[in-house]
Amino acid sequence: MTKNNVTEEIVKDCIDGNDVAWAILVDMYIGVVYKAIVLVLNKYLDHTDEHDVNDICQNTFLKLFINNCSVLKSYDQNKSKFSTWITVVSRNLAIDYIRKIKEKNTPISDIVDSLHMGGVTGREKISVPEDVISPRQHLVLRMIYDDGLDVEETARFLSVKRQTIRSLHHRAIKKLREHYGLGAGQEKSSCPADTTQS
Amino acid sequence: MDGAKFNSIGCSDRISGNGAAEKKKEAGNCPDTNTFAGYLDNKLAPTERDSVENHLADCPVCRNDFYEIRMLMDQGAKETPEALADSVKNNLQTHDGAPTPGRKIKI
Ligand SMILES: [Zn+2]
Repeated sequence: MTKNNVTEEIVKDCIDGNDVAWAILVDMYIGVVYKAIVLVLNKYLDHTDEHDVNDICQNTFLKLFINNCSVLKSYDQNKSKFSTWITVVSRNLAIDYIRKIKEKNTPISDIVDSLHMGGVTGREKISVPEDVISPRQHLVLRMIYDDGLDVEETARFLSVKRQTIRSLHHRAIKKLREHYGLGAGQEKSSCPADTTQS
Repeated sequence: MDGAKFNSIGCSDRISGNGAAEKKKEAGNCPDTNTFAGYLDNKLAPTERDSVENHLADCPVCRNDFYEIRMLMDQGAKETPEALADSVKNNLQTHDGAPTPGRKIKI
């Protein structure tokens, strides 16, 4: 039996109200939850308080438990591993916690300013015509040009080879040039984020 | 890659729980927790993957969430304080399962 099958059984037993199953679930996933919370708090707060980490850990499992396990029941085992799902859930709770702290400490003028910024990055977004390039090509362009990732990072995030990113980039630029009637140009579609050749 | 350039942290559609993510889905069209996790695990059907990537291309907040979660999944395990698991279990055992919004999170 794989860890996934075991988890499926345990999740089912937890939903049925089995205390032993809950204890096993906590033992199996406390490490994943703890890691997610500590890393998120370390990233966004100057000082990480161990009590806060503990509280958010408690709250993550409580969240799965309360309301007749409605959150736990919402887990779709066909879509993801439980460890990934619970990582997303615990990170959500950690972010929620940080937001509350930040909202409390943010001067109102900053909040007003950020409303006027309009966007998340505060930068004018170029619009990419729909259906000209594939979703993945579009995403790669955003990651490289809007977020400043290099080919290596983009490849790692999308779990593909660097060569795949180069070719997605190349094809996207080519299609966009054609769309805007710019022709093939001087084949100037080498990727600006390409720091590593080959 | 510098997450700090993002003024806002975390997608509100997935955050703040109580099924709000699912209900609010049509508002922002941000992927719900299951879909997001499925994308991270590379387990979505091609059409669903396309629609997540379509969304990520247009939503810098979800993109930032994606980078951050991927990076934290890649990190090695952290040593968990021994007493933590027990205190979580005790907390669950003394709880009757009724909703207690915000019970544990101090604001
Ligand atoms: Zn989004």
